[in-house]
Amino acid sequence: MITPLQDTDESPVTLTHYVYTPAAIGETIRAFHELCDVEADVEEESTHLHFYPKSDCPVTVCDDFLNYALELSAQELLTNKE
Amino acid sequence: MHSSSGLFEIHDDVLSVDVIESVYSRDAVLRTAYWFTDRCYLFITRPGPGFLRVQFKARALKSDLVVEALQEVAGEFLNSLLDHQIRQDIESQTGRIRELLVAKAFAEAGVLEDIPPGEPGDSVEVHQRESGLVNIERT
Repeated sequence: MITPLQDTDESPVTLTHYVYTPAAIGETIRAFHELCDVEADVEEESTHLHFYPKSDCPVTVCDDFLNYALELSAQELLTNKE
Repeated sequence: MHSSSGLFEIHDDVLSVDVIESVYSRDAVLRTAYWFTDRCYLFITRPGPGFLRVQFKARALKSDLVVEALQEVAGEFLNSLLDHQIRQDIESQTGRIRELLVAKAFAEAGVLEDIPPGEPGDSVEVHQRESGLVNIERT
């Protein structure tokens, strides 16, 4: 099954903690709080996100959110190894 | 729209490629993905243990060229991933030797020794001892 990158607000986007750290997800939510509201359901191995974009935000806000979270997570995971 | 071209699966203008972790480590995937986030949207999932699924979505609006552009980017991604993985493998195999060579080179050059205290122009006092030795002190 292929998960669409930009999901609707009806079904959650699941971020595995193996790739996206909880800290990176939390920081991304804070960084995007002016563009969209995000509801996070944190479990042990993954976080489920519901996006609620605000009226005047760009249509790509969810994709931008995911890219930003990936960048932060990569920085965190790779820096901690070095 | 759904299509497959061997390496890639394409569905609704989202291209996905599966990466086997026994060949490519998570770190290599993350390192590679980090350098591609300015070119396209990336999303990584782990559908099951042992493999990661990397999804690519074009930054530009829909056009006829989206699929071709995504295939090109994904191809470059895979080449870059291979490059990062090989670097990582070589580092794990030879990193210790490299560190020893660098340490030896610095040790032989003497650049790691402590610098003597004071400046060449500092004034000193010289005391002649009974034993004949000379004691020099900075004033």
